[in-house]
Amino acid sequence: MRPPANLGIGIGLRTAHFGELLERSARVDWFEAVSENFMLDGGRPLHVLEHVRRDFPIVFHGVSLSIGTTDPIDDAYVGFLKTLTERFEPPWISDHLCWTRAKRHNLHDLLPLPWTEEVLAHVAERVGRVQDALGRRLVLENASSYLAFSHSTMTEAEFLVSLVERADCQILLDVNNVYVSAFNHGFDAKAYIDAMPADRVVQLHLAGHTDKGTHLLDTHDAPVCPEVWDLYRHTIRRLGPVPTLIEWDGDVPPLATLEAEAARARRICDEIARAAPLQNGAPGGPRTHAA
Amino acid sequence: MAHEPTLLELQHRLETLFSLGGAPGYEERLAEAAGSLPIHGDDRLDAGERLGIYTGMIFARIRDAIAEDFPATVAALGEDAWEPLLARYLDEHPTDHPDLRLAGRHLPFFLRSREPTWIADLADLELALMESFTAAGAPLLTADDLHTRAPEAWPGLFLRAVPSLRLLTPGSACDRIRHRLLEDQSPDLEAAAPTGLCLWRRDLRVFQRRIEATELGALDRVQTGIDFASLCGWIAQQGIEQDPSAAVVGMLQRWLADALLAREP
Repeated sequence: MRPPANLGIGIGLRTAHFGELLERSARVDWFEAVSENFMLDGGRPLHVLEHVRRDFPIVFHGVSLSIGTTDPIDDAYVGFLKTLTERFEPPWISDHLCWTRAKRHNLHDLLPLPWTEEVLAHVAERVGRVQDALGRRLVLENASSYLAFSHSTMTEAEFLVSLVERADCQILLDVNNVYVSAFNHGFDAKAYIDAMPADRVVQLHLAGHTDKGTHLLDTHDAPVCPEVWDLYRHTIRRLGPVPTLIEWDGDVPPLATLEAEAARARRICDEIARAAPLQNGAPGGPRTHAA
Repeated sequence: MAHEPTLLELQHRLETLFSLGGAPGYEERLAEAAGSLPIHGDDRLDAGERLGIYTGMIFARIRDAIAEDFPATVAALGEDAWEPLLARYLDEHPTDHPDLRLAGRHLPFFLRSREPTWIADLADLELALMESFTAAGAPLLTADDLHTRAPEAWPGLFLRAVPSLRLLTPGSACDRIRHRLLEDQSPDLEAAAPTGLCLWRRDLRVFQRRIEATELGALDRVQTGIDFASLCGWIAQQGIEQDPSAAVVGMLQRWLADALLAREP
């Protein structure tokens, strides 16, 4: 499989922008579409997706694969995903390192896993089966979390690194999620970023969150906060200019606001590429990713 | 739990706890359960409160998704009644599909035995609107297709509906009631008599119109698939005053204008 080029900076494809996207082209490099929102037979959402796909690469990002559940793999869901990928040819497809379903009940949330050898073996085996069914590598995102299990035997970062090696999959590193979980569980966000293998990270996420006082909630309904922009700078210095996606799902603002956030991410990547060679010997400038 | 739970044991226990959102006193049940689960707590949030973040988010996400697709139904139920009713609905109909949009698809059935007919009718209508919006498309049968058809080929003309067609026979004037509720007006249950409803999608928009019983019966047969001669025969049995052939031709013209008919594959 030919490695896809660096996509640059993208935004999520959201219903609130459908009308505007049919009227004008967006000032971004690519779009990310939530897979489940387009597992449809027809209608306006698929029409808009086809329209946008004519001018932009589209990456699919799922929320219901439930890679960590002990329920059987949902073959119908994976089949839908394969149909979508054959039709829209995304450079990669992603979902979350979590579980969303048990006892055949979809809870529609990204639920945390214990970081144990048992779970590592379980998830790695399922990633392999999904990758075989899809005929391509899967990209998994670190989810924000609000609880941690006392019988975990490794950190989340250690688990993720072990998983991608064992299952030969890739990483969508959500910088905001690292920040949120680091606050909620008291770990070092930069140390998490530094543990990520550069050759496995194919995409970054940036988003806003809400400070609830006792914890941070990953709400995707606000601009990226200064602390997460700082962590993004650290990430780009460490990993290179990885394709980056601005997520905004609640109280979605006008398209221009998302474009402005994307432009800010682009400026950061450009500044870092101009400023200095990257840490750990990683080259500056555009990069490609093994698919 | 005395031993470290397996992943299966852990997920099955958490599934039960995460499904409690909206139930009375669920926070106490979470606090009680947390003591037997291997979950870290600290001085900011104890284990039960951490469980509660998920339980609350799961309920809120499903509640908001259903409210978005059933706005008039939720308005009719009223804010105070809606959340307890939703908790009972989710207990009977747990979300079993990966698409959150489908979380409310059993709501009309659920409401039919619990609420007044007009509220269940509203839910039926709003589900039909949603289904029609994302139904498969199909090439349309056009007047030109029919003009070029030889007279002797008409009896065998097979009629089929577009996949987005939905037919409803509510016991209330739910279309008018829905309109009023979405305009923040009182439902005015006596304002209009119930009538059949026909919904379909054309050019990415969903349309709806009122429909009388004979046309509804005819479209119901077209939705299943029927040839022109059989449809004329069925119309003739309905005892209408108009000539059956003229009635069918009139309906056909209307259906073509509305884009209700799909071309034969």
